[in-house]
Amino acid sequence: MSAVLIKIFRYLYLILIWAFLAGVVYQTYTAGLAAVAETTGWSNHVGFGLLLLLAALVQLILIRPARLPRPAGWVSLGLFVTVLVQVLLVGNRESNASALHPVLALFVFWMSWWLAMTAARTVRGAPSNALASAGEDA
Amino acid sequence: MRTRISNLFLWIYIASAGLFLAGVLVQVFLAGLVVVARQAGWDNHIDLGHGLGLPLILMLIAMFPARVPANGRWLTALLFGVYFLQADVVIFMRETAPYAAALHPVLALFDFLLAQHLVRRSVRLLRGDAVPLAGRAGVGESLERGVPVREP
Repeated sequence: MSAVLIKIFRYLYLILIWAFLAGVVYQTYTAGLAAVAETTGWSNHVGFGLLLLLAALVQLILIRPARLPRPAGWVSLGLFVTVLVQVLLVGNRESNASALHPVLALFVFWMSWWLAMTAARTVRGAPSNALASAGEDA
Repeated sequence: MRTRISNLFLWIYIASAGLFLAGVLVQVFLAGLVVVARQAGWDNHIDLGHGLGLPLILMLIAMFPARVPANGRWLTALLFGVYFLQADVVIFMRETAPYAAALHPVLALFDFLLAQHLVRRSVRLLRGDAVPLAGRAGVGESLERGVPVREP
């Protein structure tokens, strides 16, 4: 893959992961609106949660061509799996395990923060002629 | 140069930070039990929430004799600020400013992010790994097995 193409994928990933991070904050805020402030219902939270699951899948697909340094690939996979488990847990609210849904949000935030920082550093720091060699680590 | 006393206080700092981090996880789980699983009331969440201030105060006290680097001290103060805002300000604004009160769980994300960062950083400092100090007057130092490392 050419260095220019890798650079394009890295920028795409950077935009997506920062949008995802902002989305996690917004999603948590919508939970606060429903559970703490009690000004809205849960429909926004549910709808936006599915959008976040889709975004988590897209970032997992983009991580390979973006060729971020190790262990970004594993963190990206962990992020997708965690979001998926979150969605599955909330589907079974009879179980106490569903209470882990917001706990997993903390890890989703942490992992997406880490990926956003790593992507920003990679885009900022890697000169274009070093892209291909840096990508070998991914 | 680290001494036995500074290491002792660093242990206290790490234990307090770890306790706070574990407390945040339990606290969010308790909120999940109420909101998602609907298996409990808010009492446990409220009690633990106010108790979480104690390890933070210990961190604030221990960070000076523990010789936590300057940026670590600032982050500890920031963590305390975020916690105070969350547990003692916005949560009491549900009637007057509900849109601000809804920030209560958002601030938990930052509690977790800051606390895990401080735990990992201070463990590295205790081990003697290189941890850059945001030095006074712009002088940077690193602690690498007790030996100051020059900046390039």
